[in-house]
Amino acid sequence: MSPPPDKSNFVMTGLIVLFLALGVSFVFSPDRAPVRQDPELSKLVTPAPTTATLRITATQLKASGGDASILDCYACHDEKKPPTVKLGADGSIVFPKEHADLRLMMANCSACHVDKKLEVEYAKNGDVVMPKAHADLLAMGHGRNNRNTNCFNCHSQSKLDELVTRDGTKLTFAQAPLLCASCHGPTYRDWELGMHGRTNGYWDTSKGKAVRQDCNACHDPHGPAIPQIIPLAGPKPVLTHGLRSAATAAEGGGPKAEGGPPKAASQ
Amino acid sequence: MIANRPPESRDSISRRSFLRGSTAAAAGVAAMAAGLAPLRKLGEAISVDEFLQQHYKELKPEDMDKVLRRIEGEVERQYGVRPHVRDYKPMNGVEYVYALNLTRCVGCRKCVHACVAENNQSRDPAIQYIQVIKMPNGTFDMEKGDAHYAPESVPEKGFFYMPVQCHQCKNPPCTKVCPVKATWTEPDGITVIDYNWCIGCRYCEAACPYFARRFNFSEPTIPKDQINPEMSYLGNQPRHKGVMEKCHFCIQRTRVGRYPACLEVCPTGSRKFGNILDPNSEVAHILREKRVFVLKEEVGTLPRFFYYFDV
Amino acid sequence: MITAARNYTRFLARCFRCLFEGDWRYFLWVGLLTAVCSLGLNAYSKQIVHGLATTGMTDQVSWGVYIANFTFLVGVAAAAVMLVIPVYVYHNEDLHDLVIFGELLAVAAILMCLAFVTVDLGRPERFWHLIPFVGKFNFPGSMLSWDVIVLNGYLALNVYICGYLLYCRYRNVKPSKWFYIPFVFVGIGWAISIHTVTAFLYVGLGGRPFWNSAIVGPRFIASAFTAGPAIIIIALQIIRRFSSYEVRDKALMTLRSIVQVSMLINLFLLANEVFKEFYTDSLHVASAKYLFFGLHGHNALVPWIWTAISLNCIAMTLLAMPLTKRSLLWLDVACVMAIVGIWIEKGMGLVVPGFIPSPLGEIVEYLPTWNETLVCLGIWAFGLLAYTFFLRMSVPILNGRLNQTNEPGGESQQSGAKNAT
Repeated sequence: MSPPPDKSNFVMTGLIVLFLALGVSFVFSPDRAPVRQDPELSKLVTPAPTTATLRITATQLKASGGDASILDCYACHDEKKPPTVKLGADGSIVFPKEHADLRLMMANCSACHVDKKLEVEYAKNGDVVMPKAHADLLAMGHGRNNRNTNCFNCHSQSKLDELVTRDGTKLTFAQAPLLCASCHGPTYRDWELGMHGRTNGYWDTSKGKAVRQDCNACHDPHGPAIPQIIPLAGPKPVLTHGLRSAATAAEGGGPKAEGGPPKAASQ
Repeated sequence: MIANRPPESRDSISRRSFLRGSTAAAAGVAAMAAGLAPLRKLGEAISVDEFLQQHYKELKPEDMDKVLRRIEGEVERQYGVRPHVRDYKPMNGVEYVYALNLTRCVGCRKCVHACVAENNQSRDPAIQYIQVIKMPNGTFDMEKGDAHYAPESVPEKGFFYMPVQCHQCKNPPCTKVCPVKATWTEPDGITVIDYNWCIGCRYCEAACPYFARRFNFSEPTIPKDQINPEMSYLGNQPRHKGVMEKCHFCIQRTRVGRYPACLEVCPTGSRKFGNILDPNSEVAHILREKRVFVLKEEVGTLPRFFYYFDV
Repeated sequence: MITAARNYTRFLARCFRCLFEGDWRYFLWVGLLTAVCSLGLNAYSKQIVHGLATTGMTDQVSWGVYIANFTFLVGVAAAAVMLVIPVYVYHNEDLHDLVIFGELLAVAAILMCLAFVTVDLGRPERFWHLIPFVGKFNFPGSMLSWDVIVLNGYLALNVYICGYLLYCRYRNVKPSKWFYIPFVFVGIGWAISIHTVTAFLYVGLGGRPFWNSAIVGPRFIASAFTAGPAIIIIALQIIRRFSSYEVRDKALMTLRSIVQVSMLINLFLLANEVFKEFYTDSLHVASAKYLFFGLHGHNALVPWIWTAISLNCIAMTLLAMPLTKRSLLWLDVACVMAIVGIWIEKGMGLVVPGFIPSPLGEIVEYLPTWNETLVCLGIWAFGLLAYTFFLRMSVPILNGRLNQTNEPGGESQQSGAKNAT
């Protein structure tokens, strides 16, 4: 009539053993966090942010006595791969093209140029020929299709410490933005209103200064295009974990990383 | 099937089965209690003050003061740096607007990392408020975009780069859905989060059309030497696991009149920020004169983040 | 007053004692469920310590199996109304004595829902922020606040109704109409509302085009009224098998008709959605494409959704055939298929694709971790345990075996029916 006690006792004993086993395993299990592990993430180092500009203006360079340390070197240089210095045949440092303008900026023009009218040499196809003494100091790259490679479009032929616009107006080097404006009017208008070029400091000028940049702080007048920059690290791809141990996922086994290679440009 | 049994034997059967059942039940309860064993590693229990802390809007100045001191103490204990945690109030007559020049952005991601450094974001797991999407020219279809680009140098030909962060919308879907009002729009336009009030339900993350919000799936880690000690309660105080965070227009900077960190490091000057209520600010000029647009306008969020092309 | 309280306490104590009485199959079932519960509790403790990084959720897919199960179970809870309507509105006699089992299922399901939502929170200790007037409750703005109100209200409603009716039966007192009929009718509307509010959680999000469709609400109700009664059909047969409680076949057939019609509506609404997505073929089709066919090489959910649709179609076919009228085994097969199919469709087929691709076009797939799965299993075990306990207490009361008249040492000395199962 009553249920067979053997089966009941058997089940009870089994359950008690099960509960004890579970309890013991809970209390004494090794402490391994069941968390998604992504070993690359832990090595992520945030580069120190810098408000340095890509270029250093002639004024800044001269004022600092040739110290270019405020430049944002790592915009173009890989922090982990320091650049090597090239030496010429005579053992002197060969300035890379990208830095040539630094040397040019420090130069004293009248050391080579006596106060007389300078001439431009033209090649057979009409291109301006860079004089040999300047050839390793700068590569002209102003304007598409070499439209603006004539030195005296901007420099005064007779006075080397002066700039000149197309209509003959003379400007000092400090007034260089006005020279840029003489061709790049809309950009200059934007720059005057703060719409072009970076402003640092305070947007609320009642509380502090707003620091604006001149054209030369970002644009090399001889090759104004912004140089290529090395991009910093983006968001790490998310590994799809799930139903596998953290260790296996860390080894990279299993489902591939999402968001990996860039998608092809299809339209 | 009614059987008449003498009361004693009836009771004894039920008593036996009761004892049997309760032994097993006790073992079961013990197993359940043992199941809680991992909680031993919970470490510092949440302080009573932190547990009972009221919502930001309910805190009186003296309560807020206590909270700020408590946070300063916690940060000092955790990172060995004594920070300055302040509660910056919005300025009158100010509404912030951000404008981003897509012609000038070269995709260098300096903004992303300046933000990480300024706002004490977790390095592991890595949280980044700003995501720069590399888009092929000629389309705004996000599916064709790629946030994980890693070429040798940028910009790449045929692409433009579009940074996306919280747009501080005028009609935000995220504040609508928060069940505890842990996120709301401040008078100066910034959508803020009270990290000490958020319950971590992630409804706001589901609601955001711009993937602007980030959740702390585990306790954030920040290297001690990279802590930014100038903190604000609604801004860059270090967060803890289980709460949401997002871009807040560098509230600790902008509310004292400074530019946000992302703007200050941009090498090409693509980022513009200011008070739209000031007709002479650069953002006011941009919105008047440039052809600005917003992302996903049809969703009706009315973002305060505008994109435009120069040329 | 004091006597009433003492009597009630005695009643509760006897119910509690009931839980420890049973044969070896009962103890085996309860014991195994408790073991799974403890595994779930252990996994959840790990989650409390380490955060939600123990789950497979990411910023891109920020809701996973917890919310998927929650969504499914709210539907099951709402389906109790499918027993209430035939009995209280249409005076169906066969189901009359079985309504309470549906309502008890609703209680168990709501408890599971509350558990799933709690384990999904990043800061569960801050639940008090949700209490109106104590915390800061975003009502009526946030649909989640509506959900908190309707779910807890529904729980209270069903606990009250079941508790009242069971206690009246225990005391051999005819339940007073005014103490339960109005609540039952409120419950009918309330049941529809709990599931509609849950649907509105998803529908109102403009940034998620997969969910931002008016059809989601009706699909929720249709699938709830398919899976819920199907579960009840199975539960009633279990009650019939393991107790002497009478469950007429006609009652099961009534429920079968409900499942049949609801499944037809459910599949029709699915067809509507599929047409709208794939015929329009706008950019918003991405999530649907991901779910049904895979997107850019990511196709983790494709086998799941096609399994679900196949199960639902086969179940619909079986239910349309007289076979399921004649053979309870085939009816059970159809019901299990419907339950599994709808669980997949509502869970991974709704929650996960809404996040893929992300609002910025990124595809990150989702797979639950072992820890996450254990927590889910623990909560399911808890719900089944709760329902088992409810039945273990209510069946003897309804049968008359557990009654005030046979309280040990009570006023009445008449020998009552045996309390052997």
